[in-house]
Amino acid sequence: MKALQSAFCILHSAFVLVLLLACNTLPVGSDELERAPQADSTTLLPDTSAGYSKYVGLGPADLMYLGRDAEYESRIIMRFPLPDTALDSAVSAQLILYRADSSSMSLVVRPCSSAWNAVAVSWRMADSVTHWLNPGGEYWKVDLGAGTFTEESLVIELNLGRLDTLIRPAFRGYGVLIFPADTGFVAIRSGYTSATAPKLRVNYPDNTNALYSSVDDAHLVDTLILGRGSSMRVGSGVAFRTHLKFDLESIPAAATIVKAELAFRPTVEYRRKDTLRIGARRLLEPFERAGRNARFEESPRAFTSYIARPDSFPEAILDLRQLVQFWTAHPDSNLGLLLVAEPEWSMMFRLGVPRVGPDAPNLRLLYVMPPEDRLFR
Amino acid sequence: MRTTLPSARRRPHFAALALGICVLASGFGLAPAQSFFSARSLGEAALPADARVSGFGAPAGLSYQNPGILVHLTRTTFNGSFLAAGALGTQASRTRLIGDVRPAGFNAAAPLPFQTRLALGIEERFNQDFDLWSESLPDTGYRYHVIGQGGVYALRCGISRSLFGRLGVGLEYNRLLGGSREDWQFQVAGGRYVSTDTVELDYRGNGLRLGASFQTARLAIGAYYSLPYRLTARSTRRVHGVIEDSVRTYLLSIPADVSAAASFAPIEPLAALLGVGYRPWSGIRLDTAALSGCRNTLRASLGFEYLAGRVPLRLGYSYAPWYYLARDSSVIAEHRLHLGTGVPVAGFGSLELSAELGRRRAGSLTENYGRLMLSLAYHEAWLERTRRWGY
Repeated sequence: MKALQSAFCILHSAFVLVLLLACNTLPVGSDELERAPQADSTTLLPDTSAGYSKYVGLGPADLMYLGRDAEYESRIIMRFPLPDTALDSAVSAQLILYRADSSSMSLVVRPCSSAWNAVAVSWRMADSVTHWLNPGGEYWKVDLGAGTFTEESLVIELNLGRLDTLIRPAFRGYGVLIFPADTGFVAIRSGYTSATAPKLRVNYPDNTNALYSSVDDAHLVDTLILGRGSSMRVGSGVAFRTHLKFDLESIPAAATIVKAELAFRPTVEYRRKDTLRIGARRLLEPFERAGRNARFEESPRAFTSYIARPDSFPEAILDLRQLVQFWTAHPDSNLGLLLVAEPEWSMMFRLGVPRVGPDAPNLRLLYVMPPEDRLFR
Repeated sequence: MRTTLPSARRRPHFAALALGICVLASGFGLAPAQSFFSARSLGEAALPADARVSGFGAPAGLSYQNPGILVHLTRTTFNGSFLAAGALGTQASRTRLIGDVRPAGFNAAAPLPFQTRLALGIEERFNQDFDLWSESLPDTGYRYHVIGQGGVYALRCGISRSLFGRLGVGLEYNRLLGGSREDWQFQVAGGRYVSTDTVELDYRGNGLRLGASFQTARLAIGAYYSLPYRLTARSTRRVHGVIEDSVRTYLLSIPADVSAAASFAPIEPLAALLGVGYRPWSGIRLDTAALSGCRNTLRASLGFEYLAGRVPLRLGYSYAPWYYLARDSSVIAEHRLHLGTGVPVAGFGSLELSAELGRRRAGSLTENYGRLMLSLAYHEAWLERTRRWGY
């Protein structure tokens, strides 16, 4: 038995030793590879660059922002699936909202008076083709209710006499607009979070009630700085986007892109939080032809979390290795990229992107050529 | 002088040991490579894939590689060999282990009328298995992991004739073919693989080999001569999964080689073997130019076999510098200690086992390695074996 145990111990030790020796990745013998691939590096400046702003639909947001300050205003629009008879014999109705931060905010609820589409609705547009007559949403100048966030949820008593605006056949489905009554911003949970989605509760005489969760909601953001200056920007709420295109013809298609860093030093023009996420989206059609309507990929190819500091502006760096590798292999697909806020419905921020100078965007590349075979001389 | 080999009752122990070692070696999941030096030129030149010959120093002149060795063949014979190898590379106080488990070769021989014999076989000529990691340099932020596998193999077909019961002459045609595949995996900081480039080489060629042997009960002498041959190598690269159109074709002129060996058994249980092999590798040509960094090689081996009862115990030593220089232009010197034994398998043939402990050294890189070779031979209606150095 002892012999068996000893044998097992020896085998086990040998196994561990072999694993330790075999699993390492030390460069033993690497200098025997006389045909190490040739590496090269370069820094490219954008071939073309442009900036634009756009009111974009913020419907897919997890959080909706309500508030205003000197530069931005944000409203919330939402609707509930109320049947025709929802208010028959109702004794009261409440709107229930949940906030995602600790901000205090007073608000006013008014009935919306025009149709809108949750995906495309924005400060300017009711849907993808229809402008609001008045930017910021059409509404009846009637207060359905008002309240102030002091706790995690807010229950607003609604004016039952005015609620028929929500179920009248002519207005059904228009929902309500929520206006900020204070300065500052509060984050309110959207219908994407089912447990804390905005809800409309209708109470009936026999102590029963019906609960309707928001089926569509969005926040509508406006800003006062549109058209100010010619700098390129990246921002959320009202989308500020920067288009960059780099000429990659000098990079061989067979090269392995080891590093491709898009670097620039932005200036923080506006922010309400410290961590600002910037993404790079690949354009799917030429910016020169489609302009601000140029389609781009739905998912970012790269993003970075830019930490804004009060005393300095650090460099923002995005790892575009995979995207540049794709472009070198498919040069016709190199239509450039858009720098955007990730996501664009996030709490409003705005970064300035210098056009020229040492802080302007540049693409730092390191690439390696394919190896040669063992007989190559 | 006839010697009956040990009975088959030891067979299960040896078989279990061999199987266990092979399973262990493959189970460890070593980087599948044979040598850290095999990344260049045609790779490591292979020795005869026969555990019996390997046990006493692998003198090629007295192995299946000599087409004139089949003097006493009276039965159809099949011989297959399996190799497990592990190498521990050390350089600048860094150590890494690589290993390889694979079939090593196959030989078949059959007697024909008029004292002629037919020989067929597959053997490895060059091994190109390696596994290397590049240095990690702080200014590049990447490294590459290169895994090479493959080699050049020979399909052998030969005919030989026995003359006067002591002399054998043979001629063998070799169809050389093979290929290698190298995967260059680029790894960036953080350990992510970002790309794999693949380099493939296909080899084709034809060769001829002449051999002769003289065998008596106490003395055997064998030698062969391989004519120079041309090897066509076709190189393709697949970059990021896309086949590049830059296909290259090389024409390699491989120089002749000659190998001779002798065995002498003056005292009944003991026999001594001496082998030499020479190849003027400095004459290798790539297309029309000389392949730089190659040198002529002289391989020498000395071996002994002692019959302990019915069990042959073999011991050998060999020295063989490689035919190409290391990157720093130093000679890759290789010393091997050979050990071997064998056991008959009743009604089947024999099981031969050999072990090698070796050291290769060039510049700052030292490679200590061990090899275990197992050969299983089937002899038609085999009952006992006459001790001979041929087959």
